[in-house]
Amino acid sequence: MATVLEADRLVVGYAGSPVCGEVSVSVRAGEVLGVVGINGAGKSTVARTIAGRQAPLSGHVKVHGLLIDPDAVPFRREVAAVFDEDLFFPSLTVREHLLLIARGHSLDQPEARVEEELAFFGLAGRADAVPDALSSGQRRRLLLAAGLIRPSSLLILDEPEQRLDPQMRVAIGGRIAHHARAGGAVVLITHDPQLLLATASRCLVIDEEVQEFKPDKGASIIAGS
Amino acid sequence: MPALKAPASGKQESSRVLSAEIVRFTHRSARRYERRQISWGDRFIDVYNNVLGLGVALAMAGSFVFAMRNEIALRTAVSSIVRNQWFVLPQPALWSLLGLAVLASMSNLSRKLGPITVTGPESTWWLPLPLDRRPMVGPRFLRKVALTTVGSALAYLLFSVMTSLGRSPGEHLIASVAFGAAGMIAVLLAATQQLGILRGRLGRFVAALVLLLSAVVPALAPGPLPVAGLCVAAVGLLILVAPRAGLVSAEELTRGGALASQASASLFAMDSNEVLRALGSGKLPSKNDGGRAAAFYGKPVRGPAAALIRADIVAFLRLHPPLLPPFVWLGACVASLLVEGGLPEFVQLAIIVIAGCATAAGMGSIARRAALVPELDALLPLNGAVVRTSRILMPAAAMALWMTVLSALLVLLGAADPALVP
Repeated sequence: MATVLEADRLVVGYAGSPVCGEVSVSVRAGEVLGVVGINGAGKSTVARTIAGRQAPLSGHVKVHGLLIDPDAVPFRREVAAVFDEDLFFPSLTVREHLLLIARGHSLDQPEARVEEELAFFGLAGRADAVPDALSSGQRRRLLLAAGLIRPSSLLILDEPEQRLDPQMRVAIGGRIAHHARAGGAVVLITHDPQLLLATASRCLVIDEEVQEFKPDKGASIIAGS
Repeated sequence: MPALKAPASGKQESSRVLSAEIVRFTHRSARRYERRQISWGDRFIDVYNNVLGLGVALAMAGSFVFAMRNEIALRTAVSSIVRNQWFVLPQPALWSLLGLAVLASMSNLSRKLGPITVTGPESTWWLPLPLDRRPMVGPRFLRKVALTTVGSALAYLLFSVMTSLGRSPGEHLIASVAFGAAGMIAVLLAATQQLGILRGRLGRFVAALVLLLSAVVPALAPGPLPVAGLCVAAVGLLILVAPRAGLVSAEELTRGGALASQASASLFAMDSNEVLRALGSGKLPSKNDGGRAAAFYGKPVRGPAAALIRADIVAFLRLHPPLLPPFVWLGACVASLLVEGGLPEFVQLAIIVIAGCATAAGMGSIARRAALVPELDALLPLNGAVVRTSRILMPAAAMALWMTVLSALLVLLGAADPALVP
């Protein structure tokens, strides 16, 4: 399988100060890389840097062998990232938010795809509601649906389990595994040992020194922390 | 998995069309929702309020302009607070300097607020789409440019009618068109900086030079040729910038949009402190102070009040209070006193008062920022009044220094008694 993501001696942080150790990792197509660590370890900063949301302090990130350029159309086509951002169009319904993504990615039969995702995420009954009328968990589902409705070869998920009920966590695990089976690469930041064990093939522990373990070791680290 | 490939030019065109369709879809859906939510009665009240407010504002502005014009016409020759004017600044030079200050402020403000931006939801839902971003950012940018142009022209028309008594109606109109073009150039220069076309010291120098030329044309008796030149320059800049609007980075689009929405919400709430806080945000305290502030902070102190004052001094120094605006306001005061023929006393005094207020507001940035975390203040074993007083210690010291310099200048120019300085 081809390498999708490659981070080489990547140092991330704010205002010139690194938040964690150097990250060197590659993720192949079909792999799920779990990323774990205590609060403030720098997991989300690593994810944001890989997603092109912030510049690295040093080192580099390549996607499909090319240095990332978050403003380049090909990068935006290939990389989907879901962070915990509660920003929605206040006057657009749930269905319209998803239609916007489906049409923007030129999906075939976007309306049908949207209905499938609404059903999967349990939002069919709230499809015509605006985001302000949704619960916190439903808004989280909408964000995840927006990230998963579109095609991508690299999927970055920052703690997707947040605000979700146990059933939906299991369902999300299934979607992540399905994405990998279909040939996509996934970077999964999580505090949920079950989700990690169910999906990840490798696990990166972010700390002052970044180390790679098998997922069961990562799960025990989460449980211990 | 497909490799990353740059889209062909035909794909770029279809990407632009799809992008425009996404924008239309968003706006159409939002309008449909809003139509359902807002009743005809509410809409009527909104229109009624807006028309009434606009009418009152225009009537007040018109009355003020004509009253000022009459006052200036009656008192120009006889009044000034300067007793013996030993240096005379020609009026066109004063108006040019004033125009430059206004244009520089407009350009600086535009740069802080974008001018090419997206809103928060647009940054999350539009920017990650693999589409040409020009249709997403272009229309709002062009609206801003158009509004600035029209606003600048109208404001200058009122200013010209008020201050240039010898001009004919046609000349007032030409001057206002010239300033409208100058305002447009100020915003477009900010956009060129956003796009990285003008950068570094050379970029800033070129921008300052262009703004200076733009300020001089409306202030001098403007002929059709220089004004046409200014308009051509403005349109040329627009042609340079508008097609590239989609190339501004997502990070920059989001930053400007967030700042603009915070500032406009604060303005709507008429919270001037919050507006200044919004405009001052984004500047992180510099770590590069050579360690002097840290060393000063690290020295032992006696008692919590001394520790608090020391912390405020370090915070003040680390925030690097901008030095330019206080000097610009000092320059404005001096220029108003030296102008040819003398401005009326009340205008000169008004300028000094406005300069003082603006400088004091700028100096208060520490107090404003510190006020963001009153919970921390509550942790100190000090009376709340002591904490609040310490917050204004450094701004007050800086303001006292500024007032001393101003007083000295007033004495030097013969506008005040030497006893004013101490």
